[in-house]
Amino acid sequence: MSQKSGDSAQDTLIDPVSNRTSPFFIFWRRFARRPIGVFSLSILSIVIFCALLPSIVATHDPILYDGKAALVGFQTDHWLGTDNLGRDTYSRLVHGARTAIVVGFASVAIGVVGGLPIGILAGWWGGRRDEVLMRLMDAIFAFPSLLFTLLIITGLGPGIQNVTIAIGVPFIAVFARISRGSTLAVKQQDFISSALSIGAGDARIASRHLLPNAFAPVVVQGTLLFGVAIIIEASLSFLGLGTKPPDPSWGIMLTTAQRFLRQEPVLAIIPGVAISLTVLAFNLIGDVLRDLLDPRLRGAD
Amino acid sequence: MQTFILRRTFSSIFVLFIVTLITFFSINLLPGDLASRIAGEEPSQEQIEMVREALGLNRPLHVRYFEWIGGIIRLDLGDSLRTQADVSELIGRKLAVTAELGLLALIVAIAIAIPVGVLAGARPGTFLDYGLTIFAVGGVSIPNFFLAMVFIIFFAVKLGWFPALGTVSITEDPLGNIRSLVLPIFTIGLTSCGSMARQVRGAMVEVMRQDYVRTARSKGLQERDVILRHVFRNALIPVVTVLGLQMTIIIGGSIITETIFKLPGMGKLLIDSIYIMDTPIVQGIVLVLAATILALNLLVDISYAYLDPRIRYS
Repeated sequence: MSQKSGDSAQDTLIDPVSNRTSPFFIFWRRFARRPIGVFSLSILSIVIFCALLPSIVATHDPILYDGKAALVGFQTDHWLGTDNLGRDTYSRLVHGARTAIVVGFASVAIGVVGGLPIGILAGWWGGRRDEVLMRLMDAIFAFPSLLFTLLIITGLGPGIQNVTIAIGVPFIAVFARISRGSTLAVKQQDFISSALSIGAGDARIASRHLLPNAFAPVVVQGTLLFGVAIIIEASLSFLGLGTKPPDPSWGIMLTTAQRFLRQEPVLAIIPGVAISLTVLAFNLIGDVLRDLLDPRLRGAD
Repeated sequence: MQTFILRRTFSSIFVLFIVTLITFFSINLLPGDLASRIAGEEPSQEQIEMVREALGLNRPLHVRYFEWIGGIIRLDLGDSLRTQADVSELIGRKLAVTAELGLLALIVAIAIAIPVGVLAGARPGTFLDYGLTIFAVGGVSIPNFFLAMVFIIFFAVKLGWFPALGTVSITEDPLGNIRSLVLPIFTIGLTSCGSMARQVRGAMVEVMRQDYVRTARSKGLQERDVILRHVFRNALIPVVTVLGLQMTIIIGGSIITETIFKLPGMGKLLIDSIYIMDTPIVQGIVLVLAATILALNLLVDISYAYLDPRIRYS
């Protein structure tokens, strides 16, 4: 699919909306046949809608204290209850979605923008430059991703912006490795040598031939890492190193909940389930995309 | 084989060197202004300068890096900024808890992942196979600190089977020690075994397609024998490689799990030291954990080359 959209003049003749043979339409039809894919996409649509327009979806101000309404449990005014400071759990959940989605998106973007050029050039150049770049990536892989993120947080200081950077930087190594792999896979093929023979330079080959080829694995990995980023953001906010209270974040909701596990366990269950469902949806979509986009793995299941 | 081991060892040492660079310069070179954060809430310029002077942060970066490296070679990781305690000694005291936790979690993960992966891989497309996929994806989707809280709610608060927080020394009370570690061990083990089970399953499916499996079947061997004698053995080889990855996940998981369950291990010390900006301790722990992972991966690679001779010559 990725190759198709990159090369032929035929593609430009097909109207992607009306024509039922357009690659996008074919892809969408195959995606729609996967109940898991459709289920995950619906969950993500809800989460992303909350992230885009939290004030419309929420019923209360997420940071407004209300001493009289502390820990009220489920009731009509606060249908998911309130926390110890009387803040509406449902509204905090909705606003927390924004933090999760923004951090997830931005950190994956850092990984893609940083990793793709490194990987493609390393694969294309080969030799010593490839060796040096890849050993550097190996060093990043020697850290569990949380450890590397904690290291950057120690250097930069806590806060949500720094957390985003700290999550994104180790992703650079992941995307570099993937795009290097996809570059090596096509480097020796005929269409590359013919491009070289008509005088195409490194930049042209990288952007017209190597980059489109990395598209499928990068989309798949990007979807999976989006979920990882949401978990790490929640973990760091939970530890008090990410989002600063009183701003809403699913991780911070769990920090509060930890103090009330005995009296009010539901305070922990609600944000925990929100994180798990969102990350699950990203992981399941990633799997479906892998099946659909990566022909090599098709039929492996 | 010897050249392979030698080459791999050199390559690991080189990566370890880069790890020291990344560790040191992430903390000391990033524009987070260490001294002003160590000096406390809204420090005056003088206070910041005093902190810089007292901690030697005003000396050139490369000098401090080489001092740190020189210390590492003598197994001296420097002193704590806050208490002046010896960092190597401090880490040494916390090592046992983290190692015990990690090892037991690995055993739990393997004990679940291998049988589940083998059964699912032997019958792809069945109910069990489908269940494994859900379990594995669920395992990477549930944050371990949330799973830890669910465990605390059910097994500590509601049922009272295990303590919710803390641990006792294994030498004082071995049974109490294990009992207090059950919830943390299963938190880490369960969140990490899914990916491993999937790897086992994948390897099983791959081997099942081989010609020698068809041969074994066509000579009339029972399916059970085919799987145990031919498939399982060969499927285990690629699984060895994920052990390294598994250790990385487990060590990463222990950082948060120790913090939640208030276990006095390296992970909790790391987080506590980040709060108070005790950078020598942070550097030391990061280095020890990363070096452990590198060493384990080296062992895994060597044993893999031993099991599968094709690797040595590639």
